[in-house]
Parts: sequence; C-alpha cells; structure tokens
Amino acid sequence: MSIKAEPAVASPPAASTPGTGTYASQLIAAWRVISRNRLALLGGFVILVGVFTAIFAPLLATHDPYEIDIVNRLRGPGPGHWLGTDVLGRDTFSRLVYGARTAFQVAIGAVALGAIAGIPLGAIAGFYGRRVDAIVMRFMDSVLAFPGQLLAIALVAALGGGLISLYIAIGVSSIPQYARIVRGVVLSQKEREYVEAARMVGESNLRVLFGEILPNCVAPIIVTLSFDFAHAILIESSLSFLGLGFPPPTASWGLMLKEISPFLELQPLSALFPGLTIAIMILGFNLFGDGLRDLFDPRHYEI
Amino acid sequence: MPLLEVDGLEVQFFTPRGVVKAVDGVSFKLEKGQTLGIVGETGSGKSVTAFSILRLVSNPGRITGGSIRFEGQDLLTMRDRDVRRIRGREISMVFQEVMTSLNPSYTVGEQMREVLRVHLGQSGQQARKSALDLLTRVRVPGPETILDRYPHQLSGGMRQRVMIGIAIACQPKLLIADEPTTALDTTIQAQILDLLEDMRQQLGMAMIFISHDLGVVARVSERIAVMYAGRIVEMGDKYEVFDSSLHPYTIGLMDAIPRPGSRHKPLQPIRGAIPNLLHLPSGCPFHTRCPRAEARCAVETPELLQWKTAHWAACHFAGDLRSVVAPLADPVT
Amino acid sequence: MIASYVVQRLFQLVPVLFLVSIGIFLIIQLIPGDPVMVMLGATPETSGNINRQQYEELRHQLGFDQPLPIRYLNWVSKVVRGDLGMSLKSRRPVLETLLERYPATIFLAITALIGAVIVAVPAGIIAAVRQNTWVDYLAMGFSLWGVAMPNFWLALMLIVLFSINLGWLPSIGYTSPLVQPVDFLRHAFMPAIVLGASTSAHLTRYLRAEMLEQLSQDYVRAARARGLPPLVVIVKHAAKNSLLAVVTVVGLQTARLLGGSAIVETIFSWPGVASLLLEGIYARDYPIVQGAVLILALTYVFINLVVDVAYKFLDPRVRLE
Repeated sequence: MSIKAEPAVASPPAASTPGTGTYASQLIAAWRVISRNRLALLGGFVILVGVFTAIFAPLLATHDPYEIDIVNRLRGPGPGHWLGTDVLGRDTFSRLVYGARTAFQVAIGAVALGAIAGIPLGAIAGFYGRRVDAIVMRFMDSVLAFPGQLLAIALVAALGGGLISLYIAIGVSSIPQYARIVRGVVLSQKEREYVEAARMVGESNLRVLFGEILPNCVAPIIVTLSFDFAHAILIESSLSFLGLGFPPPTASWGLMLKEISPFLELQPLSALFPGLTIAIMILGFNLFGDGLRDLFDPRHYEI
Repeated sequence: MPLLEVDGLEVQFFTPRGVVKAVDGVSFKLEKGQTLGIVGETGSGKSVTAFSILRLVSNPGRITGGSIRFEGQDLLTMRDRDVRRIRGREISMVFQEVMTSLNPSYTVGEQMREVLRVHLGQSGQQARKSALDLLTRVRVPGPETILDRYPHQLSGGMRQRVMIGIAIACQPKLLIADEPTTALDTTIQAQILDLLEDMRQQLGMAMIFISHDLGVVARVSERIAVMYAGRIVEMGDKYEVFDSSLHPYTIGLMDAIPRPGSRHKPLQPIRGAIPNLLHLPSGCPFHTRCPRAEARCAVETPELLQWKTAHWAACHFAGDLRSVVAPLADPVT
Repeated sequence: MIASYVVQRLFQLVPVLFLVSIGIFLIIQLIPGDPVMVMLGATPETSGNINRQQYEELRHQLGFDQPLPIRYLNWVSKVVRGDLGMSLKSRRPVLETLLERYPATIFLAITALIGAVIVAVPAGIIAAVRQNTWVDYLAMGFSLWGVAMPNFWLALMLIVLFSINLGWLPSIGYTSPLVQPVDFLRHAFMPAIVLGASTSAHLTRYLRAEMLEQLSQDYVRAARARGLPPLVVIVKHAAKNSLLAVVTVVGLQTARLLGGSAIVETIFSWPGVASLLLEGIYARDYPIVQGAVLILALTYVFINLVVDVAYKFLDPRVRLE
C-alpha cells in the first residue's frame, strides 16, 4: 500500500518515459531498466543461447544427430553421450542442438506470419473505424473462437505437413493478438493533436498511419513478439509430439518426446532433457517478455 | 495526561532511489476534545504523520523513531491486535479519497455493520438500527434506502457522510480527518465541515484536521501546526499563528491565499518549489525559498522553540519577525 | 439490463458463428489435392487402384460434385439440423459419436479447472499478501514454470513417477464420474493435473497481480483504519474484488483447457472429443475432424458467453447501471 502523493519524490528521468525522445534514447533507457531486472536479463540470455545454438548447430553437436547406433540405444547420460541416447541410439544432446534449429525455423516463420498479417489488419481496423473495424474485428473474434492449440491442430490436419503449413497453422492463431494491440494504439492516437496536425498539413492517410501512428505500437508489439515466440515454440513441439509436425527423423524437441514415450520405463531420462529444453526456452522468452512489459508499462516508473 | 502525545516521530521511506525522511522529528500534544489543524503542501509529511498515529504507514515507509502515546500507551510498541482494537474504535479516520475509500462490492449498510460487529459485537437488527441511527446523525436523507445502496450509487458528498458515520460509529475519542473536503465541491465542503464540527462537539471528540488549505483548517481548528519538509515549522493557537506568524513559510502561505480584506495586495506565491525530499537542503530546509535566509540558515537547522505562551516556531529569526525577544522555554517535547 | 446484455452478446455472436462455420467447412476444402482421394487413403501413386464407384459415392456424399457456395449451404443446413455427416471409418453418424465422447472431455476440463482454481486462489492471494518473501517467490516460480512447461512432457514425467515408479495411478482409462466417482478421480488425477497446470499457473499470476492492485486501493487502507482484522481485510475485501476480475480470465483460460485436452486425452487414452479429433486426423476421417472442431469451438464460445454474463451479474457497479 502506498500513501498517495506522499512523499513527493523526484519524477523519473524524462528520457525513460515512453513516447518521448528519439528511438536511440528510448533504447538506452529501455536497456537501463532491463539491466536492473535480473530475470529479464536471464530470459534474454536464454534466448541468445537458443539463437546461437540454432545457428551454430553443426559446430556444437558432438554427434551426427541422425546417426543410428542400435547397440548404444536408450543409454543414460555418460561420457560418450552427455545426455544419453534415444531409442535408435542417436545422441540426445546433438538432437537437442539441431532441434533448436527446427524450433526457431518454425517459430520465426509463424511469428512473422502472425505479425505481418495482424499489424496491418489492426491498423486498418483502428484507422478506418466503423464498418471496416467491425468486419475485421469479427474476423478476429472468429479466429479467437478456436482455442489456439486446437486451431493449429485443425489447420495442420487440413493443410498437411510441411514448413509452410506449420507457419500458417501456428501463425494464424496469433494474428488477432497483433491486430488488437495495434488497433488499440491506433484508436487512442488517432484523435491526438499531432495526428490532426499531420492531416491538416495534407499528409495522406497512409503516411499518417505509418509515419505518425504506428511508431507508437513498437513497444507493445515487441512485448507480444517475445510471448508469441514462446507460444510458437510450444505449439510446434506439441504438433510434433502429436505426429503432426515434421516427419521423423527430423530432430525436433516434440518429436523426440513422442519417440521416447513408449519406452519411458526403459529410460525415463531420455524424456527428461527434451522437455527441460522446451520449458527453459519458453521460460526465457516469457521472462524477457515480462521484463519488456514492465519496462513499457507506465506504472513501472512509480516507486 | 494528554489524550495524544507525539514525540520525535520519524518516518522514512526506503525507495530504490534512496531514503526519504517523510517525517523528521515531529512532536505535538493533543488534549481531550481539542482540535489541531495540520497545514502543509503535498509532501510536507502531514498525511504520513496522520497515518503513523494509526500505524498505517506501509511499504516502503517505516516508522523509524519516536513515540506516539495515546492515553499514556505507546501505540508504536503495542501488539498488532491491540492497535486494531484502537483503530476505528478509539481513533477513527476520514479520508480524502471519497470516491474510493468504500469497497465497491459491498453495500453501504454492510460496510457500516461490519465495524459495529467487529468493535461492538452488534449483529442483525441491532446493527441495522445502529447503522440507521448513524446515517440519520450524519444527515443522510432517506437512510433506509441508502443502507442497501452500493457506493457507486452515491454522490461524493454522500459517501463522505457515510464514511464519517462509520468513523463515529464507536464514538471514538480522536478523529483524524485527512483532507476530508478536498475532493468535494465548494458547497458540499462547507456542509461536511459543519457536520464534522457538530459531530465533534456532540461526541466530545478530539480532532486532527489535515489540509493544504489554510482557510479550511482555520475554520475547524483551535490550534494549528504548519509542516514543511517533514517538520513542524510553526505551531500554536490559531489566532497567534495567523495573526502574528513567526515563520517566513507561514507568512508566505498566508500571502498566497486570497483574502477579502487585502484585495489591494497582489497574491504572493512562495517562490521556488518544494524541495526534493531525497536531497533536502542543508540547514533549514526552507532556506532555499526563504526571503529572509542568511548564511547561517544553510548550516544550522533551527529547532522548534516556544516564543510565546501558545506559539512555537522553528526559525532563527522568529524573534525579529515580531516583537518577541527570546524564546520562552525549552523546545516542546 | 442483464437480459438486454445477453441479447446483445448473442447478436454479436451471429457473425462470429457464421465465420466459424465457414472455417470449419473449409477444413475439408483446404486439403491439398483431391480431398476425396485423400480421404480414401490414396497417395498419388496408388490413386489408380481406387474403386471408381466408391470414389463417386464419397464424392457425392461430400457434395464435391457441386459448386462451393452450394456445398457450404447444404453443409450448414444439415449441421443446423444436427446432421454432421457420417464417419468414414465407423460408418456411424458423427453426432452420435461426438455426444458419446463429449461428457469425458467436459468432466476432465471441469476437474482440471476446479483443481487449478483450488491451487491458484490461495497461492495468488498469499503470494500477494506476502509480496517479496520466499512464499511469493515460490508461488511465482511455480507459476513461471507452470506456464513454460509443455503439458505433454509433464504428462510423461507424471506417468514415470506415479504409474511406472510408484505404481499408484493408472496411466490410461476412464470411468464416468456419475457411475464411479472415486475411480473417475483415480483416472482423472494425472490428466487433470497436466491439463490444469498452465491454467493454474496463469491464474496464480493474474490473481497475485490483481490482489496487489486491490491491496493498494484506498478502500483497503480505510478498512484497516477501521480496525478490521487482517483476514477480513484480505479475504472479504481485497480478495473478493480480485476474484471478480479473475472471473473474466477464467473464460479465456478455458481455451487453454480445451486446446490442451487434445494432447492430454491422447496421452492418457481419455475417450473425449479432443482425442477423437486426433483419431479423426490420423484416420483422415474428415467429417469426424469437422464435428470435433465444431463442438469444441462452440463449447468455448458458449463458456465465454456464460462467463461474461456471470461477470456482469457479479459486479454491482455493472449490474446496477
């Protein structure tokens, strides 16, 4: 509980207030706040490790992730295989490393699709209002009428496997999030003076929208991107686990769990590590997103 | 034995940017049935002082020193349970935030009965009757219907009446009113002030009235304390403080309010802004804004000294301001 | 007022349901290549071996010999009358199968939701009241982990622990709670934990934040100033208003529950609609897929409607407008 307005303490430095200053100064201020939030930093670190692993997978893997070695199947962690082997004797660690590639490959495409479709839809809905708004938002509502995971499953079922259909299946369910956020910002900014001013100077609608209004959406969109990545990684692994993602022998975290699940009794540890990897990756994106959200939330500036 | 005796009260707020001394050595006494007005700008520590009396200072604030004796017992060392028995029963409080100080999810009646139940053990018809009596007392029209209303269905003035009703439910010995009229319209303000004064007289309560508005404070208080940057800078009988102010800050406050008699004189707002409590000026905290400040003011912190029978001030030059030569006695403690 | 709100909400639902029906209708139309061939299980290489008569029959049954809008209208008018077509696999009406398996999904979701709330409510409240203590960190740690952890992995880990190592709980099977409640709970224990974990984690976080918000409100301070005991201030005053806000989230959380049930039901062989959906997908039994998606989406839409109305009813500020 705080006692309102008492004591009067210095207001926060102007540079850290969102919506003012240049992007560079905003970024510096952002970094200042984030670096104070240790959990967010941890999240950022996890993301960096994930990206690094995905890019340099061949250098980091200790084995060929597809090399079958029946003699050494279902081994526990040990010196030869750090995290043990799977049911075909493939090295779990190396498959996890390559699995990062799969996960990011799908997540980047799905997140991009959601954002690229959702942002303009939200902008158009908010900017033109009335009937356009009603139509777009009803479309969004109907996407939201399907629980996200279910929508992905249904879409994959309809579209079949393959990278593109995974992008669509996972990306579609996040379109409404982006649309809603952008629409909200556009609605709140539309009537502001600077927008009126820009219009009076005779700038075209599109220029006003992209030049004046949309920059205000950057912060909430970045936050959403972080959470959306977590979501995409989770859905990709879920689909793989259900056998609806990439076909075997692809190194995918979800698929690894699916392949080991009939053999849990023989080597439970083989199921432990892929799950931990997924959870830690998702945790990283969520922590980072939380940190960003705190950062952009004006309440954060109060003591 | 005075009803309330605050002695050297210190409250600090431990913020990420540093420690803020919100209240820094505040002392005063209040006799039974007396009224004390505390005046000050936002951040002067007047509300924090009030909350300290009920031990309601919350994070990141902490009472770090001093004592608050109520009928001889130190509230600050008391067990939580015993403090709760005093809150709302012996000492009640009325707040500035009329719109939000009642729970939106319960009816007015329920929130009144709750206090009667906890402190007086009343229930059922008895509690309902008491609640009705209270509403009638605070001059709420149609009390029966109001009982079943939710706060959002009442006007600000009506809510404040309800809150005063809750505050006097157990006939407390002390009522603390923290800017009770600030959020209200001018006409309602007067009504609420009258109501508070009537209730005080009927029940023989003592009252601490907190406001940033000198005029309002003058109307209801016999004695006045002026606070600045966590300290009392002047205190005394109402007429003394107003008519022969000893502290330049008080004089500044008086000059900043429009008065019918002095229309010819232009209003003089106090120059400068309230200092940042994190980085208070050295010496007298007011010296950066004080028209009389001299070199020693930036070094020596003036103590609150008694200059007349009922008049204290914390200024090196209090003696020069009016025809007072020297402080009468030791600092009040 | 409530009635007019319900009418208004139902009115808003019309376009949504229209679009949802188009989406579900399109599931079949989106199948790449010749849907009829795909449903008959033919690959491009084996398409020559397909029985011509069987092909034409299915093509006609699914209405592929007609233009798209006509096909949609036919489909919708049948759906409205409760005719969801025939399962290609079992040759039984889809609706019959759905109704048979629907209760299991609902019972599991309700069990999971109740479990999630039982954990989340005290956890969220205590975490807020004891903000920045070890209890708070524990609750937040649990919550962060619960959100991040994939449910299928949790399922596997629970099976390893409770079924394989300890042998306490069955890892598959279902009995109706209406017939054998105890046996139901034994079977539902793990699936409900798995299904409810992330919901519980979300609710805890949300409730904690909401509780912190409420605890900082003026009315809480005023209640303390009146000398009310802490438990009354926390539970009767702050928690009531927090829970009111949480009600709105519960509706959205059912998306998590229904979406998650696909995996959970599949892992634990739970005979619900969601596992039916996957069986349909694996068997390319598209009428089943359509029916299962339809019933799950309708359930979700309906629950959200109920929650919205309930919220309006619970909050006096809204109710008495």
